[in-house]
Amino acid sequence: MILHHIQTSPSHDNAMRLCLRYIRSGDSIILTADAVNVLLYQEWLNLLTAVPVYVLKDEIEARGLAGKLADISNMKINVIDVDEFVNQTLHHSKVITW
Amino acid sequence: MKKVCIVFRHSPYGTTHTREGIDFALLSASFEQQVSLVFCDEAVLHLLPNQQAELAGSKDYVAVFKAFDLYEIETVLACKASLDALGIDQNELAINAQIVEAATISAALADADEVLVF
Amino acid sequence: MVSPVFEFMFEFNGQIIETDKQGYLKNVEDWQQEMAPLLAATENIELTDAHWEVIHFVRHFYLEYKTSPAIRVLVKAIGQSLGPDKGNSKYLYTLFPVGPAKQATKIAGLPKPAKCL
Repeated sequence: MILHHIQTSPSHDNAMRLCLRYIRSGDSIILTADAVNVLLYQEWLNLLTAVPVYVLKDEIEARGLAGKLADISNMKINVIDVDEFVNQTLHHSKVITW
Repeated sequence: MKKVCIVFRHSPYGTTHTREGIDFALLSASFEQQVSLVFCDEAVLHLLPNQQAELAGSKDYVAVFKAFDLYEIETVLACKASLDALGIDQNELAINAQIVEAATISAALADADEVLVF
Repeated sequence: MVSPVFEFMFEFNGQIIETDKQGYLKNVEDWQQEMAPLLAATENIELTDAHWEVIHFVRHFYLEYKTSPAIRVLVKAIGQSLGPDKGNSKYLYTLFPVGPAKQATKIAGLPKPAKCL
């Protein structure tokens, strides 16, 4: 039960790919900062269908991406606020910030 | 005593991530934490012999890898997929790292009390 | 010609030797054997053969591993090389009462070990 925290865009950092190499069932991913861009790439969405994904609402709205996210249909994106982020860190056994 | 797993994922000398992580690892070991190290992605390049960090403008933080046993850092894992991707063979490595599949690294991450990625 | 002025330094054989504010040499290469008794005096230590053995040991440790050993590692490393009679903190504290790693590295011209904050 690990919460994997990704902060960087997959176009300039390998954090997301590495996280997916080591993730286990029961783990979740939270996307913050430029990592929210992960959700814009169909190839990444295809890799994420089996993983619970959380994303910070403010990061989405800051980038004007709320409409784009609404179009994602092949997986469930959990859009959360900072309080819920804190909640999730407590619900997982640990957080790994990649 | 906590089990601290330190993951390295950046190439030698382009950034100071690994140097900072090694400092942290040695310090944690000095404070009697149970430290394990994981090298993945281009960080596995730190395990090659004949490095001369100073030529790249870096402090030589790789020389201390030979002293991990003195620091009682016994678990050093290298990601097989990363080594394969870079065409590095087990017998090319300068230090005695265990070359492991992703599942072994996943288990190490799950087993640790704290995981820090550098 | 103006000679360089550092905040912390001393003069040795006509050469300016830069140190940090606690007296540790800034440059490992500046160290010479003859400097050790002076550095030891700042720690109120008079060097004996037993001290020299440890000083040469930490110096070799640094040159091989590029890091100053903290006490726990120093004890273990000395134990492996020089035997258990010397690889124990009691023996090392007799020689370097304030802290073996701290004082021996200073006298050997090395940076302060990271653990000694």
